[in-house]
Amino acid sequence: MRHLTLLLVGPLLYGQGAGRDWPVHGGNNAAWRHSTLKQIDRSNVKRLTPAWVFHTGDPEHGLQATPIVVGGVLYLSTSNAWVQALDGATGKLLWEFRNPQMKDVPGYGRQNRGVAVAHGKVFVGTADNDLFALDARTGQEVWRVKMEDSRQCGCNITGAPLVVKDLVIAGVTGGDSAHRGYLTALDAHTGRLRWRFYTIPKPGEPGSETWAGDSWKWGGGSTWMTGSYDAELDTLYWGVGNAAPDLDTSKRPGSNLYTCSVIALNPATGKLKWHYQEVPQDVWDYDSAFEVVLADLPVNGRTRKVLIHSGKAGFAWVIDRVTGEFLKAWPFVEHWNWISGITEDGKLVGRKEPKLGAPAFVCPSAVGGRNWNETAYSPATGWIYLASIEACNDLTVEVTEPSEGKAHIGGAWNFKPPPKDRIRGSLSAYDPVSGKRQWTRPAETWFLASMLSTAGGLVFSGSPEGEFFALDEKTGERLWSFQTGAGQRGSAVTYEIAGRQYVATPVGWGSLVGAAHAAFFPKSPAPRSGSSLFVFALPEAGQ
Amino acid sequence: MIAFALLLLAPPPDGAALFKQRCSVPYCHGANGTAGRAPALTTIRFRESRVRSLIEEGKAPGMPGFKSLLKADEIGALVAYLKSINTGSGGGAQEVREPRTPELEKARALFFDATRMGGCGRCHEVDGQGLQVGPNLTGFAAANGSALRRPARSGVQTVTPRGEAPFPGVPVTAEGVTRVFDLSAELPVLRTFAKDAVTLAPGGTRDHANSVNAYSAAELDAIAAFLRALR
Repeated sequence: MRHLTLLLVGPLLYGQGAGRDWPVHGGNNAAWRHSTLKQIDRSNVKRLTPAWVFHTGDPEHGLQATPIVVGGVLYLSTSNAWVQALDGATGKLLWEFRNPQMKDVPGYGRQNRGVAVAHGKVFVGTADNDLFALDARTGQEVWRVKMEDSRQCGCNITGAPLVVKDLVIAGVTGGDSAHRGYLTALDAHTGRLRWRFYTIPKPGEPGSETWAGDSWKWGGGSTWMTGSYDAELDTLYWGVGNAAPDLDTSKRPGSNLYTCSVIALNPATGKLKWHYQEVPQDVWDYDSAFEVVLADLPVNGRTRKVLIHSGKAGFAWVIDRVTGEFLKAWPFVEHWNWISGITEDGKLVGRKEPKLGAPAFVCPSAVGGRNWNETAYSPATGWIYLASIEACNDLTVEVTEPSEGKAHIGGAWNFKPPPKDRIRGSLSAYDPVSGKRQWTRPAETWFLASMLSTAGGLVFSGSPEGEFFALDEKTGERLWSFQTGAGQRGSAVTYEIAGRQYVATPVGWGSLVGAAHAAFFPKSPAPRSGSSLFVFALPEAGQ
Repeated sequence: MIAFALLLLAPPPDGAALFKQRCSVPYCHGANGTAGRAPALTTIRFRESRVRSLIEEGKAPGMPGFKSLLKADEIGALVAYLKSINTGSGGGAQEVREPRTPELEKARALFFDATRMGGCGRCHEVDGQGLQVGPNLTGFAAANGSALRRPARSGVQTVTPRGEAPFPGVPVTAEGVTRVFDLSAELPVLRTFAKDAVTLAPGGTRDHANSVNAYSAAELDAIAAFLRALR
């Protein structure tokens, strides 16, 4: 009995993934993007058929939202922060909220990566830097906070908020602006500010010695994707983006904490518990801002509470999530030359940096060895499913002066194919600790949609060419696909209503990185824009 | 010789392709020059010589110079391409503000100071920026900064939602609902209530001192000078 309890502790923390609902951004708060549903499996996925399609009517920048499903109601958000509640079984619109037209949108774009639903409310970030709450039943606005004037900060909210107890927590873009990044926690009921954690310490605070002069005020460190939460450790984990100016380090000598780091915070106070900086003094635009996967895995023969954090640098870091201790790092791209390696205690060696007057050819490119489209972790195979990008760039440094809220880049990049190769993308399965690649599938061009793993033994994702597809989780073999007619840059989810399993995928190309398609693949047709949700299920008896 | 032959065979630079490769990169001018972090290029006031020199020399902050990165005919092809996509509306990418003295610029930065959580701009809109919670302070005529210490009374009421403690708030016009700025936390919250779920009582004070005391007397004087200079 005691053993049983021990065995159950892990699963109880964040389940074995999402169940009937898809209640939070990552499926569970450990960012697994895995569902325990298995009505749709390897044997019957060939019969998967459209159940319904919903067109949001707001095609700007495509549809990137992760739908949230709670109690059979599916909540969707669009680039202009229209929020729609749909009957998950039929696609019937229950209510719609249209955010007032935004005019002060900084250059990071309007894309919206989804809502959070809790406490009977729907929480939404906007392209002009508001966070607002709607009544989940009626769609009526309850509260709204301007996080910072977007005209001032050149920053906005594109990521989905995360709810921890009675707090709603949201990050901010701004990593390539003269801006100081932060994470903000508001009271879920009233919207009142509870804390703001700046990702760059101000003079006098620990870590401030890693910045020179005024550079801390303009140092980037955005928090533009969604973090994770471990209830047992009562710890919030969040990835932090690149340092600014991206390429010019002349005014920011030092390691530049806490850019390109994973941070662990006390969610009640916003106080830092520990940090691990993956890329000290970033000079390649290697954001570490993506999802933080929490799992309990054997490392050197002992089960450890770890987090797996993969970023634009083309590496995944495995960190003890209790202490912040470095355990391992492994590359998921084939072409990397920005360092020659990482030592057993986590130090980067052989850095290849562009210098003023001395450009450098570096892989991966500033688009990243991967981009924000999220990985999936399957507790069944124990593998991580990840879309990687093989591309390089020439980096040229230029000395730059900060101007608050304006672009703060300090150079230029010119995308190039890797040596003796072409720019290309793949979808692969990796052992999360050893990094051993289990299988890989080449893309026609690249993959910029998230992965979804299910207990049916399947991995779902989509392509810029419009195909939504299912792979065998063990071999990568393609078992089913459906042409949706527009590029996929969002995050598919699965849920169950009245005994029927549905798989929903956002369709419609967009985003700044999506715009790089033309430069990366000049011979390939531009992915089609749009903004629709395609929902699939197995045919019902008698159909 | 072979290189020379290849050079003759090489097609002239393709401005659209160059734009995709060098200018529409994720952080900058976006696909087709319409989006991105840098200004949209389809709506600039197009002057060929100005555009050429911008490409060659760059523009602070953010835009690098391409003189050493691109060949002259490539820059020419880019200029031609930008001309072809220009809609001539002339709205974008121009300086709209008259230059100010460095002292006033410094004072403006203090007013909106990000290191003070957005400073006065959290509640006051001036100079095309800030949130309209308290009064617009454009042209606020005070001889020095001490006038800025006044408690914020203007429009503040005592708001009591059903089942919640009263808080100082500023009502906002809204149809069919009651909408108020809740001033009890550091960032104002625009809250919406059903009409019967909240009562408003005239009179109420928000402790303005917390916000104002974040500034020194000299800084407040500078801010007052900045406000006087605004028209």
